[in-house]
Amino acid sequence: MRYYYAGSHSESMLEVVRSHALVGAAKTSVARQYPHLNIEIFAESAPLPGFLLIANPRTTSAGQRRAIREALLSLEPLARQADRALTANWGPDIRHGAIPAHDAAYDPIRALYRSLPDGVPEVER
Amino acid sequence: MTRTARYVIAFLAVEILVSAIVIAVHHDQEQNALEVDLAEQRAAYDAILTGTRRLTDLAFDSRVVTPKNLRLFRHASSPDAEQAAVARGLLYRRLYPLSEDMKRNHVRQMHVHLPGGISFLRLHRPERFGDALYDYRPILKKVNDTRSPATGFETGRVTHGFRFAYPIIDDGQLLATFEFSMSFTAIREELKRTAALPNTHYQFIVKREAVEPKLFAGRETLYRNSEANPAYVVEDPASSLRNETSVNALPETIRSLDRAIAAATGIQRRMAAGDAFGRFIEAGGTSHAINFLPVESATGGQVGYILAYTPAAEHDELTNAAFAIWLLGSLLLLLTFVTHYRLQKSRHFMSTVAEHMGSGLYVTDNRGRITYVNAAALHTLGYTREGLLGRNAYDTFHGHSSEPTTDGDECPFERVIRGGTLFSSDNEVFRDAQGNHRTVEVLSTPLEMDTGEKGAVTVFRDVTDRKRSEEKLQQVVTALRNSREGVMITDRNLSILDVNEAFTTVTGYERHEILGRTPRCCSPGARGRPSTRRCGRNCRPRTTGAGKSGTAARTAPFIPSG
Repeated sequence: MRYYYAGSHSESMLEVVRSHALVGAAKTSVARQYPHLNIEIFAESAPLPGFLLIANPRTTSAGQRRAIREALLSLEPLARQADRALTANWGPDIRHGAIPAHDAAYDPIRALYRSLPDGVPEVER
Repeated sequence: MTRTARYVIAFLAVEILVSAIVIAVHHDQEQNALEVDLAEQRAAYDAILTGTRRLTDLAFDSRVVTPKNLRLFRHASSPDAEQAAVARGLLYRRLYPLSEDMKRNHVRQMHVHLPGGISFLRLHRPERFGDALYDYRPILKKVNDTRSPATGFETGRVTHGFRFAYPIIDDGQLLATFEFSMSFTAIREELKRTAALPNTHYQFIVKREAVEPKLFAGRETLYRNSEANPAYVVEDPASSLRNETSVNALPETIRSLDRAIAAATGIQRRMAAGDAFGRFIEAGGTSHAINFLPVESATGGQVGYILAYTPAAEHDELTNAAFAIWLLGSLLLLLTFVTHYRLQKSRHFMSTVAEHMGSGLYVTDNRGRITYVNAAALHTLGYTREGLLGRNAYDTFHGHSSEPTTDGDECPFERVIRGGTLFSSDNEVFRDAQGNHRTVEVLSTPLEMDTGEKGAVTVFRDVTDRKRSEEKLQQVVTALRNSREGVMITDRNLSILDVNEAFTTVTGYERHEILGRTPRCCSPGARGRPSTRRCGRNCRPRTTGAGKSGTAARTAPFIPSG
């Protein structure tokens, strides 16, 4: 079995369509965009945390990072019309709001890595 | 208006005319240079589109309409969604290598549409399909309607492009349309490669009204406002939506030129009219030739511009040369006017002096024709100026004695011209306009012009009356000298000026003894030389008091003339 990095979730799906790969992995929201190209989802993991928003401490101050974090966490698009209007054109991963990041939320990913029979494969880029 | 004011106005008028001519010639040279560049860029642009058309023709014939693909195109219209999805996936798989090959030739989009203008498969954006395109893409409708290939520039839902659309027909049935799109990046790269202007930068701008209404939501960031014209947009090289690695990052100089273009109302007006034209604009200390090559949409009408920016150092040289010519011409013109002004002023002065002379003056050329005559000469001779200018002086009024000569060879004035010697006389005769003879004093001097032409200038004075007075005086003197009565002439101080022979006989004085003495030494009682000589004490000589009037011994008054 050979793994390689396709460049994006979409490219992972399209590599399967192109017959360059037998299977591809992508987050569910992307994989569901390609049934029109005859992509079938045959396995799905338990929910995993979404993207992290991270900041570079060399280019942002602690105060700026705290202000951004508090602003994002204060949004309630599902409950408040004003917030929903604000986030209407945001990406699907953040359009519905954000929650505080906890390291423990990424334990399922670590478990998946550990479950690989040959350890973490070398990824071709 | 003074003479100086007239000269200043005339100089300014000629200077404006010269400046206008220099500007017009320079403008023509500019336009010719721009038109040559524009024609070359137009030819290169057309050649690129023609070459790409040949490439897409080949790709379509050899790799799109294969038997296997035709079966998939037939299934694309299947009402069975799963069958259509399989066909779409397989077409994507089969056409993907072609799309990669075409990308290397800057054909960045391939798109399959179903009859009716429904998007079936975008090779460049496979996640988007099923949208109706006729409202946005008239070229597709044209291909569907005519079942013939069509080519042209078009804006679109994802981005704009130079489209090459083909109908896919099998057994007489229109299965789909297939479309290639080429980006402006390809045009730019080819223009740089093929046009003979390697330092030229190119930018493609599209009318905002042709772009924004068609774009998918979220695609707006692919474009930014054109700095050259607010009615146009340009692909943003920094947009994260771009799928091309070749970024048209224009240098700051070009952005300065764009701002200059935006500020030029004349350019904005021509862009609004969709004209093809060029302009020279300066930025960063260097002139640039900027050509505006209009791009028409597939359905007609100008929808964009290819802007070509070429550094034009030779234009600066041309401008400097034109300025130098203008400056030199202006200086020469100024020098000419100043010289002419001074010459005219000098001539005017000389003419005024000549006109106010008491003596007559005329100038003749080498044939004796009068070229100038002053007022005193006209007055003396009784002619008008028009009556003398151009006429031969000899034929008109010359005569060299009381009986005028008729043989021109004898004329001393002619000898002045031919021989270059002076001629002067106090007893020449001229004929006036009434045919009267006038005795004149003349001085005729040879004259040689700067041009080498020879002539003579003659000054004369009418001495007819003086001559008559002198003759009369001479007659009186002769009469007195020959009188048998003694006659003395004194001045107003009674100093004896002259005596006749009878006087010396009567008084016994020699003429030289009595001159300068008073008449008292010659009283009637002293008649006879011995007695009269005794009054020598009173007959002291006078050394002063020569006057114009005199007294004869018998007190007959006598007033000399002249």
